[in-house]
Amino acid sequence: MSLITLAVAAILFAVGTYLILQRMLSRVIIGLGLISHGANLLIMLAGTGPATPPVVTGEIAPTVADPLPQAMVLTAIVITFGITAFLLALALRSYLLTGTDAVEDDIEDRRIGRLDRADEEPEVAA
Amino acid sequence: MKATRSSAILEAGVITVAGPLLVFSLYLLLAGHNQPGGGFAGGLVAGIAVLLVWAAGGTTTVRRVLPLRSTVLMGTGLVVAALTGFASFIPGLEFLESGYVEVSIPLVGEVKFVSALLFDIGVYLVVVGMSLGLIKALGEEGEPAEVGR
Amino acid sequence: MILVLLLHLLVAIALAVFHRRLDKRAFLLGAVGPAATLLWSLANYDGVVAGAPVEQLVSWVPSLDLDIVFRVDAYALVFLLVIAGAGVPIFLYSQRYFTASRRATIFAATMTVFAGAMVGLVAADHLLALFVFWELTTISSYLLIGYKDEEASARSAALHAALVTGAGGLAMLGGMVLLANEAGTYVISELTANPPPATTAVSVGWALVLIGAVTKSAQFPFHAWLPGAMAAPTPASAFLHSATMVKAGIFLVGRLGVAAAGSVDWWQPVVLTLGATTMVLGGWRALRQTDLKLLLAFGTVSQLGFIFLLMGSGDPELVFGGVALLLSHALFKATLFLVVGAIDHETGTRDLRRLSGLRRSMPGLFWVATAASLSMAAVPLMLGFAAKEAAFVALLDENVWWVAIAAAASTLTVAYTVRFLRGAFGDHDVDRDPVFGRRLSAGDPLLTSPGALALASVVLGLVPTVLFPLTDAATAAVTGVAKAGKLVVWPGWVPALAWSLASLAGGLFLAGRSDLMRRAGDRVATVSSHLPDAEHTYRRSIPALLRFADRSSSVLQNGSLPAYLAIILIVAVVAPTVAVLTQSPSFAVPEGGSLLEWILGGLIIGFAVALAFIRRRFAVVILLGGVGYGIAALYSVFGGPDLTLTQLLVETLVIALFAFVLRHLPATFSRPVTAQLPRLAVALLVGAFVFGAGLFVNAARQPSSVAATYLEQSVPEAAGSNVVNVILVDFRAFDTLGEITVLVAAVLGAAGLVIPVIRNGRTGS
Repeated sequence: MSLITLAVAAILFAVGTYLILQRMLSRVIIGLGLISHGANLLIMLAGTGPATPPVVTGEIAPTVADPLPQAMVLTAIVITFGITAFLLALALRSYLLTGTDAVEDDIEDRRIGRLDRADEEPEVAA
Repeated sequence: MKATRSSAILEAGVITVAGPLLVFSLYLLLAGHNQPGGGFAGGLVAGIAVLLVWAAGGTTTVRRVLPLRSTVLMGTGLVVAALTGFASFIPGLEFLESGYVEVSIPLVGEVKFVSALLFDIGVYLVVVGMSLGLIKALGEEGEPAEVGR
Repeated sequence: MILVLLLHLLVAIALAVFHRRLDKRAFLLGAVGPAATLLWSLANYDGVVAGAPVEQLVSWVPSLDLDIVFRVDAYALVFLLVIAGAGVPIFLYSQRYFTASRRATIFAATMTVFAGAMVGLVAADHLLALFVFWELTTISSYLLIGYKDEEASARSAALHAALVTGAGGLAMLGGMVLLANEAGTYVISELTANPPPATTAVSVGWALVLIGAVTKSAQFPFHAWLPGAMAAPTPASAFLHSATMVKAGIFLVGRLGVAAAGSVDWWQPVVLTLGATTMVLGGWRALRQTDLKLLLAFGTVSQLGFIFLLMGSGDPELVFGGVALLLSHALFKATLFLVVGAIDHETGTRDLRRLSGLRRSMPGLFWVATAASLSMAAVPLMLGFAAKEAAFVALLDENVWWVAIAAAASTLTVAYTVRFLRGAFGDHDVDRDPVFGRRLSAGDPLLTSPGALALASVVLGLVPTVLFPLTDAATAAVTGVAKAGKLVVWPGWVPALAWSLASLAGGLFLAGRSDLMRRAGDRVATVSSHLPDAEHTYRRSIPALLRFADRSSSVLQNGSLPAYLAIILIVAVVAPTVAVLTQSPSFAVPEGGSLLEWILGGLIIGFAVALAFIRRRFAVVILLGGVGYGIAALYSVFGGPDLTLTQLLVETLVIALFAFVLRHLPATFSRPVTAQLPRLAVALLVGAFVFGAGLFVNAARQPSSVAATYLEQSVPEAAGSNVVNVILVDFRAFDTLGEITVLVAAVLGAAGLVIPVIRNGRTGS
């Protein structure tokens, strides 16, 4: 683990968070991409630091990298690719159908907040 | 559809590059068990090849040059990967546990055939189908159907 | 035991499935459940009473140490006998009471589920299993009270009962978890054998458990739901709301009372006070009712208070009296409810101001009611007398004041008993359109079912010693003390007898001076109208609760995605931070890193920070690509050539996809409308959290044994030297199979979203 890489991961998380906390779906997707980069780096950091590739030829060298985080990160990269593609399609569809790629407020949720139950007294039992 | 913005020369050139790329992707797939590579990387290289074809003439060209359905590729890949898992039951292994046979081929020498390779081929097919499907879906040149319905 | 429970379930399912074919036979089928319980109880009676509990264990969730343990000792057997003994006659009675219909069949199914849940509740030896059965009785009670779902009052009463007992059940669950944590076991028999030492947590745990018991057994101040529950059809009232379900709370305090009283000082006084208050209050309210069923309901509240006080005290003598009283109460109160049901069924009213002369028109029912009433009023030679005498003897040993209160409540009991009997069967001036009953035939279940129960009251009253072994063994099972009391026809001239006879005489006097009673009642009513009333409080609190829910959800669930994400992120950061910091963690600052890492890291940080500010879309895409390629290079430093390769390829494809999509969108992003400062604050919080987490992880890092295994096994087991690939396609291939399935789903979803809205003049993909 090195300080600079940890800082990179933290900053990726911070910028990603900043980007997903607003309504433009295309920017939210970018934010998610940055966060997943940060998460992948964190997983790698939890493994060994700078090392040689985990390709076994004869003796296992002491400098060899931990293969498990790598396998996990590889999976994560590809899955993030799939999710990014899906979200991009979602943003495109949203834009083509509504003319904006902003995420609107959920009207149903708003309605719940405004519910007026003044006349909903429970009936009196016999 | 707009008039083709591709020229025959560009198309030919791109396909000349895409062909070797596809071969390289197969190499990555087969070598992946022992060197960097594997089904994911191989499939993605093939995806880059598809992207190049797209650059030559949009989805029309992709459809003409690669007349494959992405759903068929992905479906085949999934089935291959899953069947590899079930095949492990036959020699009495666990689901997806791999085995290998060493075959001696004249002139080539000893070759280890690992059943995990079959599984990786499934992964490869899924990733290729995925790239193809996404490029065909999102790379469509068409105008928006109905804006602001 | 498990077979008995499964039988209940099977019967309930059969009832629900075959409701068309069953018609009136539904309740006959339903009676199979309690009958099985009865047979089981009788078959095991000798062994259990002799002191050898029947135990059975089923593993449920072994990883949570959650077993279903059944343990039927003599104490549980008492309740099983009550459930079965009341259940069989009530089911047979229901068959006559209801006209055949689909809903009646569903009613029978619900009753069967309830009977099964009740059996499970008393037999379970695991706190959580007990809780599950407990809630099951609450739910079936809700359905049964709301049987007449076209009536608003029935729905409201059902909800009231469910809310009060349900909330109590949740409190009880919390208490159980606290207690089990302190005691180190969820097994009830182990808990009572080794009660946890008195700490604050244990004290709170007992209090919460007590709340559960108090709500379930309709004790003050949560008694108001029980009279409301009389909206249920009478068989359900007789079964659930007098004989069995309301006894669940009593069961619980009886089971845990000794441990609780030994553990915390306040338990005994609180239980005694609650029970005594309920006892007097219920008796008083019963005197003022005109609906026969409500009169009995308040009477039940009063009696439950008495039994609650005795059982929960943890004192062997009192518990002995409680068990005896419980048996006698189940017999006479179920009888009386069934009698009221029969009157209601035959005349169409339960209003004692309209009934007249039923003594002559329904003589059989009259004698049955009289027998049960005598037992309720504790007239000598009846079972109720023997039981109450045992209770009085025990109370006298405690404190003379407790006897005085109990005797006062008994006086009220005698008075409302007379009021019941006279109101239901006597000749009197009726206010309006009097109704008269008609003679029931001798074999009518409306008569024979309560008749059988009344007969049991009379016979057992003459030979109460028959019940002594069971009562004694039950007392011994929970208190460890045998021969704590006596059950006799005639106690001899002891002080307790004086109290009994005095309350009997006082009750008769009060009943004779009904005018006096009415005036006193009116005066009390005027005074008490200023006091908070349980029903009123409930009705007021529900709208307030709903308003609170509305307000809080309008703040928390305001429909804004950024707000939701911010809340989630803040919780995700703050909760683990607090948890870690309270454990005085150690952090380790790692070394700075190589020059290459600094260069790559600087580039990535530069691109990332620029991403937050630049609004031209294509510039954004290029920056994103820059971040991705930078990360790919970092992977290579970390010894992951596979990662570098994959990351480069994925990044290229992602950029292409972004470019595809952004072609359609405007060239610049619009200015965000969300407030900047809070966003920045949350973003910095998350970043700082990640950094801190990294330092924490760095301090806690250990060599990975998994990695060593994978590295060693890769070549011999999987014939591959690229360990990352071997993990993906061999060691963890199942995960990869799941992953590619997700990919396929994502692609199909993306294509399905986009293709229909882009006009392309083509079909298919």
